[in-house]
Amino acid sequence: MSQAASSVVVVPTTHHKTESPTRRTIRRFVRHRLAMAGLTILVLITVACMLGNDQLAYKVNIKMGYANQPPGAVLPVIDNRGKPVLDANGNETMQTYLLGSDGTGRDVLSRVLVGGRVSLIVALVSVAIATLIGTFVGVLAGYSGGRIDNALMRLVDVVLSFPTILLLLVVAAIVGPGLVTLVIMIGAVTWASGARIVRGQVLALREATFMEAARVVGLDAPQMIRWHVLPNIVAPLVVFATFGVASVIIFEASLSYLGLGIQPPTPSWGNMLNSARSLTVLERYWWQWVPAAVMIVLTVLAVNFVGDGLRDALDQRATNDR
Amino acid sequence: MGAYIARRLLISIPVLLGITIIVFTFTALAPGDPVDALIRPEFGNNEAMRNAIIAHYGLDQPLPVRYLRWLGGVLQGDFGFRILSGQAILGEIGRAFTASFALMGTALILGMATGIPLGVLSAVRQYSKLDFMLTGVTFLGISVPSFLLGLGGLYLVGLQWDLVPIGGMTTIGQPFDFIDFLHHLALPAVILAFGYAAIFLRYTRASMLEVINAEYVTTARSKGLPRRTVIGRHTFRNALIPIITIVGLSLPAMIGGAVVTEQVFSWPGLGQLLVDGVNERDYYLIMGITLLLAVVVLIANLLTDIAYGYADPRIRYS
Repeated sequence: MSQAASSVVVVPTTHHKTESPTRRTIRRFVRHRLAMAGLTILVLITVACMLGNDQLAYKVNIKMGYANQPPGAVLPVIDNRGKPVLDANGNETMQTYLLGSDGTGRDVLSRVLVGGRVSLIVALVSVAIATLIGTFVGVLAGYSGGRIDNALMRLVDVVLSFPTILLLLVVAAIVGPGLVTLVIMIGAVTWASGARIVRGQVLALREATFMEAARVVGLDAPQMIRWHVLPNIVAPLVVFATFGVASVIIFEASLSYLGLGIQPPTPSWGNMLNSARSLTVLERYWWQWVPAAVMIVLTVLAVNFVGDGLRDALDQRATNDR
Repeated sequence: MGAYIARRLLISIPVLLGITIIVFTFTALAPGDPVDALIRPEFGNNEAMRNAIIAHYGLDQPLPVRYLRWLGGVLQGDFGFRILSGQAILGEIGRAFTASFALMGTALILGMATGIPLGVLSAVRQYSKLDFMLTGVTFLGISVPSFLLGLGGLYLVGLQWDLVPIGGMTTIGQPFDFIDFLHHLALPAVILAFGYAAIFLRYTRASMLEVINAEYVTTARSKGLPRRTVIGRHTFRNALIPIITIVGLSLPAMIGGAVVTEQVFSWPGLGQLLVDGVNERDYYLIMGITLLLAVVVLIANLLTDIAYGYADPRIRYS
């Protein structure tokens, strides 16, 4: 996912009209139709997830025999003690469960939306952690060079040569599952490719003339990094982080599907799939897992589209700039 | 070549040792231990028995001693025993590895056999309808995790259409039958192969496009060589090196995808064994599988390097 982003240092090109790089990037991105479609889908999904009803997502309805009802089922509203809520005339108030109810009578639609919140937050926070670690290690390795560089890059090789999901499984076995541990542990095992990208950029930057000039002017290492290195590695990092979100959504889904990620009753797209490990649910109660699966696929596709668009828009070498 | 391989293998020994030390330390420091799982609740909290069990498994020894004992055993082919079932770990891993290898190997061959030729085709007919269609399918194949695809496949092909068995490697309670095995293998292998093919197709296409406009390709075409030769010998052969690199680099991701997909199909492979080990807190089992996978990845990297030599005669190992 990082090949195109990793290679080249930004060399500002002279234009007939002056246009700031940021504006040009935005203009190119807006023109990328698939990326804009992806962005629209992402915004819609995020808004929908924020509108999710927490009450309905957690309220267990099993005693009343309203479990496993198909999409469109009309069920009475219950209060926190599990009693039906009555209106002024003493009739039960009814509510439509658009996507049916799950094995404990909870509203599947609400769980998909609230679960989406959990999945998206896990993805964003762990990618932020991975990006921070990756940047730190990459800058340290690339800027120091020599033995430190060598040791850090061997570490990166080892981490990258292992299937991430297996690392996550082993770490999950050790620290136990849970939201916070999940986020930290995904961040802690997915930083390596980011570090490799950043190091490559920094190595190339070290040879740039403006870096030499900055050194001559007398900037010390922290200043160099702050003013000259970091601004020049933002582009590949943005691309890394975007594709990272897509892969973390899949990691969360895989781990929670195996029962080692987000633990019930908290919903997430992954642990809603966990119910499909039962063949009865898989076959007869398809509405309990298909919505989560569709959301995962849609989100990952949308994020990948956006990532492709960003990569093209941020690619300073691009010649066909129409 | 022989010397090169020997040297590479020697270099990988410290890496392997490092991995085992890290995994061992972390697993030993983890909260919760297998002894709890061994003591039957009806005996209550019997301190003496607990200590006896701990001593029996050597868990009262300091960490370095436990590690060296484990390592000594492994070097003699003794990986220890499953704590709950008492089965020899080596045998269990062997069985699971065979199952995983059969599944992944089949999927890899299927994926290569479809992905690479279609990638060549897609590049040769760049911007054609076929190219757009294949690129779209590739995008799907890369974005959709294979375990989700597996769930969908199991639902449609296994349950709704009832064409294949719904899980496992063979029909339980029957003697091994090759046709029966293939019947069980078909769906998981095809699902995994779809994801692999997408990776192969994407990189073959990109790599072919890098080469297809090179001057020597134009020369080959203009001196009247048949299209087959131009594409097969002049373009594809030169496009192979990046493909090999990518395949080598993608291998961990491929194994990772297979691990979760195995669970969907109750395939009795390494993925399932590892998840069992995680759930039982059986650290020796986790260690054994980790070590095996590390060896597999290292060997795969070595094979990748050797494959370079065949793809590009300029690369010589000495």
